[in-house]
Amino acid sequence: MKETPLSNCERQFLLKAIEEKKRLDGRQTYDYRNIKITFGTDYGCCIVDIGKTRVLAQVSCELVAPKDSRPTEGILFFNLELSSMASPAFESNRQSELLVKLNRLLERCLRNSKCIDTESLCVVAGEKVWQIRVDIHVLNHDGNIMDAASIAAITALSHFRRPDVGIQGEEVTVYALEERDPIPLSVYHMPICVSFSFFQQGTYLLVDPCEREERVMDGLLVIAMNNVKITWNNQSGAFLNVQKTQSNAFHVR
Amino acid sequence: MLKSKTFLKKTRSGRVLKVVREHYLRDDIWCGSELCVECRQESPPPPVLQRDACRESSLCASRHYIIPDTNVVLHQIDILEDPLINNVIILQTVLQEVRHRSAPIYKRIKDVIHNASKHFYTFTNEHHRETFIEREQGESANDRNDRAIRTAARWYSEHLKKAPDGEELQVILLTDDKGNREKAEGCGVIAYKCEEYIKSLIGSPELMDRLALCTDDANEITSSKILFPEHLPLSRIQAGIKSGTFLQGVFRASRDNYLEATVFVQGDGDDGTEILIQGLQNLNRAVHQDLVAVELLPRNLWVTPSSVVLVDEGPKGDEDGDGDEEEQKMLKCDASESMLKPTGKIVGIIKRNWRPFCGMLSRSEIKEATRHLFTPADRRIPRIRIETRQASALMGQRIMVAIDGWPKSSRYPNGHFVRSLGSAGDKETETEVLLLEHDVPHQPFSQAVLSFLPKMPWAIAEEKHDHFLRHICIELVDPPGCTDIDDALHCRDLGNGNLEVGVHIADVSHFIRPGNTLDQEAASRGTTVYLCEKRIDMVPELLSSNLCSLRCNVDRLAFSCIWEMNHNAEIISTRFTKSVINSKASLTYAEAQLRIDDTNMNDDVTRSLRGLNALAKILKKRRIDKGALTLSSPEVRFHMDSETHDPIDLQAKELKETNSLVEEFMLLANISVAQKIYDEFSECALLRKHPAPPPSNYDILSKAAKAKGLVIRTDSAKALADSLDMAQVEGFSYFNTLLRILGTRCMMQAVYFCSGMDSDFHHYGLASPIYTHFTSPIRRYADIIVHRLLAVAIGADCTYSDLMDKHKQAALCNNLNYRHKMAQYAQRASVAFHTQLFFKSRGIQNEDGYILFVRKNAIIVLIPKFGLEGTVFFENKEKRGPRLLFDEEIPGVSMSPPEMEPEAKRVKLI
Repeated sequence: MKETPLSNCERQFLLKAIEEKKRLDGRQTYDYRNIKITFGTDYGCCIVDIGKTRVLAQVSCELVAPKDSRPTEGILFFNLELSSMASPAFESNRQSELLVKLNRLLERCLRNSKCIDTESLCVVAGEKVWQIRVDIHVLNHDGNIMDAASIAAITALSHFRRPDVGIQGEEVTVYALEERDPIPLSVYHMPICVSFSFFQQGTYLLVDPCEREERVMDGLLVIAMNNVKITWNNQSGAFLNVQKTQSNAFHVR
Repeated sequence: MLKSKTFLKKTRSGRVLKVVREHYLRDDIWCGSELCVECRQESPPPPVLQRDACRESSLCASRHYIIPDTNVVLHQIDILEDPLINNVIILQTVLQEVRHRSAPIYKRIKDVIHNASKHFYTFTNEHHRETFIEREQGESANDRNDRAIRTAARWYSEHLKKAPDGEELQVILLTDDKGNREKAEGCGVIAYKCEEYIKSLIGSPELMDRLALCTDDANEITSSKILFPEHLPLSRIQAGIKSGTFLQGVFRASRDNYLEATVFVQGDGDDGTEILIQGLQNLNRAVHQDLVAVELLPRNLWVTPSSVVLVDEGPKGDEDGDGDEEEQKMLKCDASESMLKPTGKIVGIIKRNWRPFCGMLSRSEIKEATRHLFTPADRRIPRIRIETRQASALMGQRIMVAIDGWPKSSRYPNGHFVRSLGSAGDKETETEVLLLEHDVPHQPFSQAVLSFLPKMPWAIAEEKHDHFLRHICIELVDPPGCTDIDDALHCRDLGNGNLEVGVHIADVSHFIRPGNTLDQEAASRGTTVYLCEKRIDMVPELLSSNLCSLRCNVDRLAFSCIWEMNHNAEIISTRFTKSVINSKASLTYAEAQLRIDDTNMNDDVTRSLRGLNALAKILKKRRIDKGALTLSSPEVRFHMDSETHDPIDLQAKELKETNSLVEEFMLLANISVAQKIYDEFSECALLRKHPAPPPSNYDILSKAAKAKGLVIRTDSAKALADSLDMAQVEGFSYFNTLLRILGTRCMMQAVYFCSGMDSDFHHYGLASPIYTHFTSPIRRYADIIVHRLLAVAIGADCTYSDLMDKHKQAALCNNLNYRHKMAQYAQRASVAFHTQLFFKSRGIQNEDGYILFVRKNAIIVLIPKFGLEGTVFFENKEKRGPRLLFDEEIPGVSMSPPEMEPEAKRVKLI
C-alpha cells in the first residue's frame, strides 16, 4: 500500500509548530522520547521502544566457513527488515531506499566501529568460524527507526550467549547450552546512534524525530558514539554519518 | 609522470575484478650526496652521503659509495651494522624485498638507516623517472628487481660524474650473485662480491670474522624454504608400527630445553621406554602430548640428554634458523658410551593433542604487522604465530590461542586468537590461566548437573535408615575455616575392657547416583582443587558445604567404619554400616590439642579424644616400625589479607599431634575398607598403590648425601627410613629436611588402579600391603566408587554394570590419576604465584637458599623459608660468568669453592 500523502495543510502546520519550538507530542526541541528496553526469554532477544516506535532484535549464531581474506575472523551480519506490520507503507521483501540506508548505517555503526571482537569467534582458522547474525524487525514505525535499531542491536549482542566450544587435538566439540554455560560475546564498547533532523534549510533542529516530523524534514544527521574514549580506528570517540544535508551549514549545539 | 597499469583478476569466489594501479614517477628525487649540486632543492635536508666517503680498500682506492643488493643485506646485516661501514645507498627495491623476506632484518636495517652517523641513504629508485623500469615479458620478479638495482647503480655513477669533482667518486655494487655481477660489469657498473670487498678493506681485519659464510653464487632466493621433513601418511605409519620399524608413543617436550624431548613408548604392562629426541629437525613439529611415530636412529648417532637450559628466545631470527643452529651445537657434549640413550626422530604424527594455550603476545617489531608471535605460559609448548588486528589492545594481556596447523616451511606453528583472559598480573586472570593450563575443569556446574541435586529444604527420611548413631558422642577435627568436612571420629569404652572406635565419612554416594550427569561431571573432575584463595569443587556447593558436610548438631548421613579395639590398638572386630550421625563438637586441630593437654577437662568429648590420641600413637609407632616413610616437601601457607586477599605473610607448614591423630585413623579406615572390598570383589576393587621406585631413582639422593660423606641405604623402605633418620650433619640441621625433600622427588607417584588389572598392590610409602581411599568422598571421586563398592559389599545398595567392569574402572582410574596430578601441579603453581605477589610488594630481599641440582649452565635453588624453587643461570647476555667445570658424575661441583652442594648461598631474588 502506498503511503498516504501528507496534506499541504498538515505539512504547513507541522513546520509552523517547529518554528515556534513546539512539537506534536509536547516535547521540547532536545527532548528524547522515553526509551524502554525489554529482554525476551532467549539469549540475544531484545525489544526496544522509543515512544511508539518498537523494534525487536534477535541474535543467532551458526558455524560457517570464514571469508578467504580473513581466515581467523568470525562474521558479523546485520539484517534489518521493514515489514508491513510496522507501517502500511512498508512492503515486505522489497529493497527500498530507506531499507538499504538503514542496513548500511547499522553496519557502519556496529561492524565498522569494531565494537564486537570478531577474532575470538574463530573456531578453526580457515575452516570454521561463528557467524553472528542480528535480525532486526521493526514492529511499529513512529519515526527514528535508526536509533531504536542501534540500541536494540547492541543490547541484544551484549545479552547474547554462544555455545561453548572445546578443542582437543584436531577435534572440535560444540557443547549444548545445558552441558556447559554458554559464552557471551566480547563487547569492547557500545556505540549508540542519536538522530537529529533539520527543517527549513537547517534553521531548526530537532532530536529524535517522530514519524510526522520525519516526513517534513529536510535532512537527517545521525551521530553514533560510545561512552568512553576507546582507541579504535585511531579516532577519538565519535564518528559522523551525515546524510542528505542541505547546502547550508548545519549546527550541532 | 604517471605510469598506470590495468589488469583483470579473478577472485577466489569467481568474480572478475579489474585492478587499476597508478605509479607516479618524479624527477625531483634527491640523490642524497653532498657533492651533488644538480638535484638540490630549496631548503634541502642536510646531505646524508658524505663528500669524502673514504674507506681504504685495495680494490678501490678512491672515494666510493656502496650499493648492496637484497641478498647482501639479508645475509651480511652484521657487516652493515659495523661502524666502519658508512656511506651506503639502500635502494627502495632492496628495502622492499628485505621487508617481505625477513621482518627482523628489516627492523635492523631501518635502525641503521635512522642512525645519522652511519650515513645510510634510502633512495626511492622506484619513483625516480630515470631509474624506474618496467617488468618485461617473461622476466621474473627477481630478475626485474636485480635489473632495477643495476639501473639505479648505473644512474648513480653517471649522475655523480656530472657533479663538480665527482669524477673520482665511485659507486660500487655489492652482490654475491655471479650473473648479476657480470651483467652489471657489462653495463659499466663496478660490482664486487661482498666477501671480496670486505677482504680488500685495509685496517679492519676483524670485519672478516663477521662475514657470514654463504657459499655461493647460486644463492637462489626461495621465499618458502622447507625447514622440516615431511610427515609420513597415516597408512605408512601404521604399516611401520606393525613391522616394528617405527614406535608409537606420547611426545613429551622438555621443560628446560626447547630442542630436546622424549617420547614415552608404552611397553607391555606398566613399563615403558623413553626415546630421546634432539634438535629441531628430529623433533619435526611435534607438540607436547601429541601421539607420534618415532624411528630409532642408528646406534652411532645416539646422544645423551644435555644438561643445558635453553629457552627459545624467538623473534631474533623469525624465519631463519641461525640462532637455533648455534644452540643445537651447545647440545652436543661428549659423553661416555654408557650414558647414551636411545635416540630417534619423529616421522609422523598419529594424533595431535592440541588444546587452547594460555600465554602472552610478543608483538612483531613492525608496527602495522598483523602477524605476531605468541609465547605460551607452558614452556614445553613452542611459540605460536597468530594473525590479529588488535595486537596493541592485547599487549600485556593473558590471552588464549589455539593451534591450527604447522606447515613444514614454518619455524612456528600457526594459530588463532581465542579469547582474552584479562590483564597479566591480575589475580583473577592468573588463577584462570593456571586452571586452564592444568586442565582443571572449573566452569560453573551446568543446569543439567544441578538438576540432580536434592530439593531444599532437605531432611533425612527416617524410616529408611535403620542405624542411628545420634546418641554417640562424635567429634570432628578439621583445619580451621574448612567448610567441606567429610570425616568425624568417635571413641567410647565398651565396658568389657575394649574400646569402640568409629570413623564416620559423609555419605556422598547417597546423593550422587551412578550414571547421571552429576555423577559424570564429578567423575570427569575427579578431585576438588584447592588453590591459595579458591576452591574448585568436584561436586556442587550444596553437597560439598552443606548436605555432605558433617557439621555439628545436625543430622547427617554417614558411612561408618567401626572397630572394636583393645588398649593395644589391636583390632578385634570391624564392621561397616550406613548411619545417621549427629556430631557433638567441631574442633580445629589446635582446639583438639588444647583439650587433650588440659587436665581439667573431663567431659565426654575430651575423654574420647584422649582415648583416640593414645591409640593413634600406638598405631603410628607400629606403622613406622614396619617401614613407613616420613618425607618432606617444602610447603608453605599464606596469611591472606581478609579484604584484598593479597598474601601478607607466609610460613612453612607445621604439623600438630592432632593432625596425625586424624591421619592415623583415616589410614586405618582406608586399609580396612580396602581389605573388605578386595575380599568381596577381587576383580574390580578400586585400590591405591605406591610402587617402589627403581634403584636408579635414588641417584640424586645418594649423590647429595655422598657430598656430605653420608650413605643412604635404599634397598628397602625400612632401610631408607632408618638411614634418613640417621643422616644428620653437625651444625646443619636443615640438611635432613633437604634430604627428605630430595627423597620425595625419588618417589614414584601413588596411583589408583583396578585390582583385576594389576598384581602388585603394595603401598611403599605407607608400608601397607593394601590401601585405598575411602575417607574423602566430597573431594575425591575415587572415594565415591569405593563407597559404592563397600555399600554393595554390605548389602546396603545395589550394584550397576560399570562398577563391575574392570576395563571401565581402569579407564576411570587413568582419568583420576591424571586429574590428581594436574590438581597437584595447579596447587603448586598457585602457591608460586602467590609467593610472587608477596615478593612484588616486598621488593628485593636476601634469604638463605640451598642448591638442589646443578646443570651445565644453571643451578636450581631452593629457598626453604618461602618454599620457593628457581633456576639461576650462571651467565646471562650482559655478563659472562666465571669459567665453570661441569662433572656429570658428581652433580654440582663447580666454580671456585669446589664444594658447594648443598651449601647455603646468598641468592638475590627479583
